Amino acid sequence: MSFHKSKLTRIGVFYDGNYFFHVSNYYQYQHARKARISIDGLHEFIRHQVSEAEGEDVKYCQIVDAHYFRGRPRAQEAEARGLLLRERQFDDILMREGVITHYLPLGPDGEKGIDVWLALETYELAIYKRFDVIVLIACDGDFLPLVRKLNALGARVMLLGWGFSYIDQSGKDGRHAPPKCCWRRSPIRC
Amino acid sequence: MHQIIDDRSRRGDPRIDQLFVPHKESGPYQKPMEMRRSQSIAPPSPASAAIAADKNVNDPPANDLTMSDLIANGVTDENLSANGYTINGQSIQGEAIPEFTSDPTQEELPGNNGAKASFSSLNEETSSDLSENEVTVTELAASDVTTGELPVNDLTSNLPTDSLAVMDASTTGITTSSVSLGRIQALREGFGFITPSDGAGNLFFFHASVLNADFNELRVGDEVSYKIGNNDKGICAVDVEIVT
Repeated sequence: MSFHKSKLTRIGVFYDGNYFFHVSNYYQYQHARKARISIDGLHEFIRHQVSEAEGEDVKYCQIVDAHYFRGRPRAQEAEARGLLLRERQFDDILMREGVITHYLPLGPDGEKGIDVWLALETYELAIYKRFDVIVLIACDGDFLPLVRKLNALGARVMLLGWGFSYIDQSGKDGRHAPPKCCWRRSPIRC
Repeated sequence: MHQIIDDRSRRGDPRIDQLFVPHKESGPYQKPMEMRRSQSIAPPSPASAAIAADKNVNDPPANDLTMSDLIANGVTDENLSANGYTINGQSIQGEAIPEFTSDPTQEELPGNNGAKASFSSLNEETSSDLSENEVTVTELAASDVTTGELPVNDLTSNLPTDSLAVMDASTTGITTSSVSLGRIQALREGFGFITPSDGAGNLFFFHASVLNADFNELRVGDEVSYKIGNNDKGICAVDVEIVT
């Protein structure tokens, strides 16, 4: 597989939706900002970060593909919990920003198979769409093999990760370990 | 990312401001997808067609006409008639907008037809009027109750309890569908506690359980309604709504 260098730096963004939900909740409820992360603003931020790291003019750094992966409650459960409207509203935002959604219904044990789906889809799209930079919004060491494979394709990988602890709806303490870096061209070692 | 965002924010980097959804003043909460009168009319009414003709072609379709549009264009109850409308003095022929009726003999009752219902009589000896009774749907059934006049006496004779509570074991974690009242006792980052009005112990609730408001809009002392649910640590409040 050969990658032809063009003037444009093609960026692909891949969201671990459940993790991004926790990050967004953090800024909404715990951070002094008390505001949700804007998808549009985040994409602009990514473009500028890539521009700085690549040493390219920001106008030549474009997000050409964005994908959002998440498990979500089944329709009946979502309706019973009053989540349908919120989910549709967020879908509208993602659609407006050109983010392609990939959902799986949640099982009794929560998300199942989403991480693998994200990894396979990312790898396949990296081959077909020949991204120069792939941005992973995730904080899971399970993605390390993916990063290595992407590097083998010649793609650079940018990881946006926030480390924080949280309390989920069932009252359990949760924790996302902070990554050692937020930008690496070499494989990430979280 | 914490450090990058916070450092740049302190330096006043405008890109960090753009990273967040700006705060905006929100009006009073309106329940979503409320049925508007115009949405229940299948064919576009002549009144809406007439009004749409005066509008630009880029305007929304005529069958999106709402009651407020009709009122704004001079349609009132007085100038609605069986065969047409009078808008700003101009007579328009056609079918009148159908009125909603609450007569159970003419129109199906709202809700789940065929649901099994139990009745709780406030005054069993004199309760011939259905409006004085409390009705609770306990489970869905094929056709235990259909539309029309409900056999109050038959149902009340088998009444096991005068409670409104409906117990179920749904997968949502809601253990009872009865709505209770209470006040916000404390608010923390992403969760809070409710003091029930009946004097019971405080209940935990999670920010995602707030239905009719944003969690950040809640204040200590606000009166709220809620249902009892459960999580790994025991019972908690779910479906929390501000009482206005």
